[in-house]
Amino acid sequence: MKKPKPDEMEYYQQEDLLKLDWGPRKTSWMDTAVDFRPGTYIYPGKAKNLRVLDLPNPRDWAVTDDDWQLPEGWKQIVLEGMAERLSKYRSFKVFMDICVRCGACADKCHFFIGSGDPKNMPVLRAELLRSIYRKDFTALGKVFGKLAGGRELTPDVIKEWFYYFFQCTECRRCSVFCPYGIDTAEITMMGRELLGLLGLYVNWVIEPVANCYRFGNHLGIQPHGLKDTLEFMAEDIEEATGIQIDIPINKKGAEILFFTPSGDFVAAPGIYTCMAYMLLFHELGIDYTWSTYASDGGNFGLFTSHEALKRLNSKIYAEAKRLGVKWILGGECGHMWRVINQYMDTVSGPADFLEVPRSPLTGTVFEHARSTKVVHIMEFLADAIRHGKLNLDPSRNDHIRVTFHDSCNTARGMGILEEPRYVIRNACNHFYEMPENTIREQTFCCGGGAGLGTDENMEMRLRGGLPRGSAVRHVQEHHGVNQLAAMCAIDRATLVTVCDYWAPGVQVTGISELVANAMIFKGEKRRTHDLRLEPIPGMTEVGEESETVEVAANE
Amino acid sequence: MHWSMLIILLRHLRLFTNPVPFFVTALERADGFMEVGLPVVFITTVVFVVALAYLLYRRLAIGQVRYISLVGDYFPLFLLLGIGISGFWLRHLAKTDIASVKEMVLGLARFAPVVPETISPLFYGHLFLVCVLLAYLPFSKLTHMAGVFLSPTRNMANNNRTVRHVNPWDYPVKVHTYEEYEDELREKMKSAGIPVERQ
Ligand code: HEM
Ligand code: SF4
Ligand code: SF4
Repeated sequence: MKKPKPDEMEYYQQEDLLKLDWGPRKTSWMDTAVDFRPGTYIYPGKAKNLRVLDLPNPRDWAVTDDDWQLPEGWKQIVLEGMAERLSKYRSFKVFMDICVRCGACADKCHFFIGSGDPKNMPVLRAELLRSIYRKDFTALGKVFGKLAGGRELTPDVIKEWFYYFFQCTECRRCSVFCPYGIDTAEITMMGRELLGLLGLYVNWVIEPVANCYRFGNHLGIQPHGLKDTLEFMAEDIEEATGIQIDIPINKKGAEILFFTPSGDFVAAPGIYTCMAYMLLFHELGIDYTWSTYASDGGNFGLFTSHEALKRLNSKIYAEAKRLGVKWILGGECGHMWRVINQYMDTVSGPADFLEVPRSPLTGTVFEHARSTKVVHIMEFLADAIRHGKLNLDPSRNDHIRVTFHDSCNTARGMGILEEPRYVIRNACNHFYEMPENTIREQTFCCGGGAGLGTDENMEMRLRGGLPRGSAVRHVQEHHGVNQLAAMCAIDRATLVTVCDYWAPGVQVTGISELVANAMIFKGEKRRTHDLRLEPIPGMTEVGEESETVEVAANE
Repeated sequence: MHWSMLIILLRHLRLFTNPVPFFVTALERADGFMEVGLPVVFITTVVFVVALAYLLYRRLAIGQVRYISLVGDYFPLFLLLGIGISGFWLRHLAKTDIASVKEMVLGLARFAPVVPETISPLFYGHLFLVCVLLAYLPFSKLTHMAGVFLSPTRNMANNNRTVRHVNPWDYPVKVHTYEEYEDELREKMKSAGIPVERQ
């Protein structure tokens, strides 16, 4: 058998990963250098991608290089960048000042739980930056230096930032437990922006940003390719249900612009969720359109800088305006919704050319989206179910015992907790919650968000996925759970690995997929296969029996 | 810990005011309800010192917390402990002459210092530590109380979808417009039958 590599799950033995030491290290954290071991860091951004975006210092380099080819005057650049951000962001300034190092956040981070590395305690992650802040921006730090917790900014500090700010999924779990609500995610964001000023990006983030900038989606799918992709899905839909759907693309004058993360165009299980959207819209007679120019709701700009976020996000309103839609509907995604919920209106608004969203099915006006004009698919479906507009037969999902993973961004980043549960309960008869301290506001991250979900980072993903994986394992053992529902495209990509590793046998699914599988469509054929084209237990008996008979007769 | 701090501060008012405000006396009575020995042992003092000792113990004994601690985390603890213990000493063991303390303090307040003989050196120790504390306070983590009110994750509503928030330092960024996009991909779009703006 081929020997597995560090970017493959099989490379890691569970016993090894579970040999965890959460205790303090022998050397003080300020004197402990980073150990760049394969599997725990992400490859740097390629020069060509930086050039697409006109970002500083494009060059090809490796994380293991001694010299990272920092630009001339890099120290000045960082300090000035810090000064600028301290004056712009009250959050940054306050979070730099008020931490009392009480340690309440320390053991709340999935990366600390799964790795034991002290610098993965949120408080120390923040101290990496705070120590520089103290040295250069506070009176005590200027006078007392190290005694006041300050330290000199050196290339090693920059390397440390790069390592640990890309070992934070910006999930905000720590902030829930901090008495001051210090959000280490915001500190990580600032750290990443400062690194960006020196041309230090990870390729897993910056390539999607470059793609999205030029082609409208992270994967760089061109318009004709997108059309092909959606048409393939339509064929599978017809095979599963016997229903022919049409695919509106760049259709002017449609009522609704629909967008979703592009991850759901290409990889299972995300594609089944994408198929479900099209099927549901067809059945419900919704006048919507896809856009090729704004073909990604996801926004890896969020993991880069506020500026990159704005450059990508601006396309959505621009496209809504060009197509003349009334309002916007967004699919199942995590960070896309963090952007919509927290930033979109401010960075790209006002969307005063759109109408306050109103469901064509029920007449419900979504007042809470009065300013952004963007509605979440779960809000839309929950409202439709509430008004009895979906013809659901949850017993079609009786072979599924499902649990629900709150994505960090939708739970803590926007606070949508009940709608997904309501929809799942209506689509499935067997729903089980994971333990309380691992769901809702306290949910554990998948370990691969914020641009960390790449295979070269496999060790950290598995470690960061340990708490979530253990919670899944718990419901698997106690309730026989066999599917994990998540309304986030990154989750649907990364949790597959986490489940295969920590809770093998549990599949990952989107919520809309569950709905489409439970739904009785007008003119559907006898449903023997689900959207994955897998036989539905209990529905195939007749067919299967006759097949077995035939096979037996032939033998 | 924090409650006892507040109550002690209030109780100290009797050193500055004349007559002693009623609520200070009421507090003293309530606080001293466990009459252990004479003069009354104020519960808050005990709670204060014990709480500080616990905080110190926690910082030293829990490895992770020790690892993240800076000098700036120990210093205020020792400082407060010093104040607390010397204060306790002053009241219960050294039997300070409150009348003369008051004389001095009020003298200070009127810029007419009087130095009564009957005050023990320990009082000056206590006073010195308190002065250090007051000097250090604005720079230190002890201002953490303000943080609770300043923290944006605490005092801002998460309502951006409903209400428009304007960024005061907003500036235009370079974007890739639809026209640029179509110019690059027009032929491909046309042959795939996707509508375009210009032929
Ligand atoms: C934040 C500031 C201060 C703290 C935390 C503090 C703490 C304490 C504590 C814990 C005690 C023992 C409590 C008792 O049994 O009464 C005490 C007593 C005392 N403190 Fe302070 N103190 C502070 C400020 C001051 C100031 C500004 C003065 C004088 C100008 C002062 C003078 C005294 C005296 C004279 C006593 C003995 C009182 C008695 O016998 O009733 N303290 N202090
Ligand atoms: S919980 Fe908050 S105050 Fe306490 S150490 Fe963590 S960040 Fe600092
Ligand atoms: S935001 Fe999440 S990943 Fe980052 S430090 Fe906090 S808990 Fe850890």
